[in-house]
Amino acid sequence: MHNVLLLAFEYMKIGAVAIGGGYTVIPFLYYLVEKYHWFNVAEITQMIAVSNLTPGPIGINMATFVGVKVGGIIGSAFTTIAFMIPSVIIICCLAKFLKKNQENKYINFVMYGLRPAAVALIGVAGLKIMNTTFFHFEKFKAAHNLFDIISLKALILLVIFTAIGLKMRKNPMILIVLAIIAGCFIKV
Amino acid sequence: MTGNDNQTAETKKISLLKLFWIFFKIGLVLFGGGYAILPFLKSEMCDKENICTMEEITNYYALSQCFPGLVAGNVSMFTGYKARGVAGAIAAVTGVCLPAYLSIVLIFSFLSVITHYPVVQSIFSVLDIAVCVLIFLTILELWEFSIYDKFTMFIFITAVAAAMFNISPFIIVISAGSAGLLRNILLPKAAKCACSEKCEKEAGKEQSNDA
Repeated sequence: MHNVLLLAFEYMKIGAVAIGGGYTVIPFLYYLVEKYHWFNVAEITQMIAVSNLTPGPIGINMATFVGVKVGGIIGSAFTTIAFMIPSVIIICCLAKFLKKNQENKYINFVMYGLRPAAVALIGVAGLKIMNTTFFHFEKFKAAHNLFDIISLKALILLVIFTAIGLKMRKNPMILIVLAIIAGCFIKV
Repeated sequence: MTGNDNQTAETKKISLLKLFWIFFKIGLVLFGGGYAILPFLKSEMCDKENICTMEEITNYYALSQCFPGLVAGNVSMFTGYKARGVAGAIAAVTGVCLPAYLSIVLIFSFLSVITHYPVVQSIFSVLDIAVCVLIFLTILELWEFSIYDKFTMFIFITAVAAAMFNISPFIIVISAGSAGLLRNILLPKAAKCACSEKCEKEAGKEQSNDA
């Protein structure tokens, strides 16, 4: 139990400083390994892989993983909740502030600059995912076959998914379900 | 930005349980990190429930990047807060995080087996493609009210370049916000308006006044 509380406290600190999403937590995990030896570096790699494969925000997946490892199911509940507490407080205060100052012209000026940056960040996130799914540089290096660089199957799926996505704009969840079904039969 | 406020305050009061359930569903289909949350938020909160505008969600997304916590969690909290205040924010964030928590607790015991199944790996590479498609379709929709003049185009291009070179999103968002603020303070005349929706409204008013 002592370990669990200590881990929850450490995770609350991480939650208070990790700005910019789940991946920023990773360096803190290495720090935890050095300080407490609750898990090892190889397990961090496994954690990242598993977090990518499971639904939900990656940061929560990793917090749960570390929690289960150190203190079982109770440990994982403590860690995950502790991790979220700082951001819940901060975002609620910020949301309240924004609501009060909706008409403030300076806030709207800031938002005017923020929106294009948000679009850019989302776009680059998409490009980074694309980079790993569509381009196989290792394969090319191994076989020196130009057709290996770009995955043709992935491109065809991209076209099909875009067509479905455009038709199903109101219901993007369907696309995810279709992709899971397609993944059972098609190897990209 | 202010279009739906009166409407949401008076006629729309979504129950906390419903809010939780919506975000739980979103959490279930959220693969590959929080970046993919926008299309789902749009379809559930803008189109179906009419709780907030796409413009607001884009603002929330940008702000979420520069405050502590997970991007998906923070965006959910902002949206939940818009719907039902603090209780709504907590319902939303619990909903969006619960599938992530449960899935790890459930598969923890047979973890090493799962990740080595080829079927599992192929499912996830196909999922990545679907997530890409969703992200780019979302961008198409965000475009019209985010990038509508030379200055916003400039911010967009600079931000893409900066993000490609792995500059922290924190720095990108802070600089973009300051740039927007400075530009509108220094060149108030050149800036038609800070917000496209307001712009349309004011234009509409002027027209009716003229008539």
